[in-house]
Amino acid sequence: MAGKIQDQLNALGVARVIVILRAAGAAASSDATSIEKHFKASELSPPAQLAAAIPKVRTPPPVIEFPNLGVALGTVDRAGLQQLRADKKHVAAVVAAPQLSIIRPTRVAAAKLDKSLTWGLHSLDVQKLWDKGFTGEGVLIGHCDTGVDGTHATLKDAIAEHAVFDDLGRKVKNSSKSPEDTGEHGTHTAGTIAGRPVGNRHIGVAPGALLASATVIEGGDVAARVLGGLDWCVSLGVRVVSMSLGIRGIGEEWHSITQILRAKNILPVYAIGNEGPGTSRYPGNYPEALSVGAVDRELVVADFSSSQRFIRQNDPLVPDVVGPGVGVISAKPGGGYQEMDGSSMATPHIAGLAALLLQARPNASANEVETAIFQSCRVEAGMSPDRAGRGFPNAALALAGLST
Amino acid sequence: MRSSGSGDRVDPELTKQINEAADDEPVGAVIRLVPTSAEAPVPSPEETDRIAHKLLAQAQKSAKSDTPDYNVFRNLGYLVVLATPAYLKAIVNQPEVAHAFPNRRAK
Repeated sequence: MAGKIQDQLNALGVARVIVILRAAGAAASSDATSIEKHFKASELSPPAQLAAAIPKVRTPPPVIEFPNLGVALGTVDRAGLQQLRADKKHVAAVVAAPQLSIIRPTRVAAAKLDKSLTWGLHSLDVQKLWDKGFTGEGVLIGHCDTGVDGTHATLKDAIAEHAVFDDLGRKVKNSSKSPEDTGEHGTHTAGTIAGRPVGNRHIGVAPGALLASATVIEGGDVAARVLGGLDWCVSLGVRVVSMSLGIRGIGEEWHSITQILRAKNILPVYAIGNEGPGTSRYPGNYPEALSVGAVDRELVVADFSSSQRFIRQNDPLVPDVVGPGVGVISAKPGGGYQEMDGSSMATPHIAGLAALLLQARPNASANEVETAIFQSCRVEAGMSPDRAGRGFPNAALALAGLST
Repeated sequence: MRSSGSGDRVDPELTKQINEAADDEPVGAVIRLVPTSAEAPVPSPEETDRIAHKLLAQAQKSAKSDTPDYNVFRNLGYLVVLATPAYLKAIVNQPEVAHAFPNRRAK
């Protein structure tokens, strides 16, 4: 745990900690009051001049006290941590705040697909690339998620390969011939990447691309399952990996893997998280990842969309870009469609965009594709760069940028 | 591209899991191998296989135990091992190991 606190301090200058108080119950409140001065005012608080422009930003208190448990949760800098550890009268221990794993949608709702394009496809301007014949055909995208419903009308022609991985990252031999989803998340994200049109209604950014879909999560985080999926994707020659999963906070264990994917000319497109301003998840928050946050149909950054600024020269601000992440209609296991909100939903949009660009320019490197996406972005009037990164991409501009 | 972090070769949580497990209780560790050349960030698939099996054999000899459950990720330069604490202690201290972290993190 000490390593985790140090990782956060090194990367951000602050760390999220739990303080085990000496007392419990009513007496714990007294302890909590005594130590409050060691915590920083929440790093989530925007400067006053920005607060008016971002009225919906949440500002949690500096310390959250749980008197019945005898603990307090808050953010400290190095000095604060030292002071807490020295306060033997009120503090029994200081530990890193626990990290969650799966980036779950913040909302799921029934939906009808009644337009020819979802709002996300329309806003990204993908039609312009489709009109030029660029649908992602010939591009294989790695999809590491809960699985995928291979019987869905939009997906049955989209899945080139499917595999399920066990807790040691081994491909399960007796997995079903027809790909299945262990939940709903994977089918939804797969549909956004490469869903085929049904009755002239589109949900997929790259309706000509193919997926190598790896079932690597279904609750809990087991590193080897994800490694197995990524290793398999690499062996199949994917050009892009779309991963809407991550671990809250800072951790180094996935950094080398992300660097390896880039070194192999694979573009890792990862969700940034759904815990709001001042937060992010790894591996999405590494410089080598193309991290994606969420906007709604007015292109306003969603309250839940994570964003964070790191103490580093390379790519200090995450997410890199934002994508359609509110009211996203995509495939539902068993048939039909549903809406979900989350940075998980924005991520496959950008992965699909990368596939369109790679069909248009097959020899483009992952770095070149990423640069073209970045340079196509616009920061809309209601966006703060601290929340939206480079902003919202445009498919036509990205293609033009890749061609020059 | 620089990485940030504590630089621990063995993740503190893995150390904790190893130390807290009973002698015969398996613990899962994910291991990254040291690159074999300055030009490539990861050993080749063949090298990854060779080094992984060398590590496993050395640890088996040192810990005097049976071959554990393991898997090698040939394209990424990683392996995962599910083994007793003694076996894992033997393996993570080898010079071929760049980093080791737990397969499952505590909730």
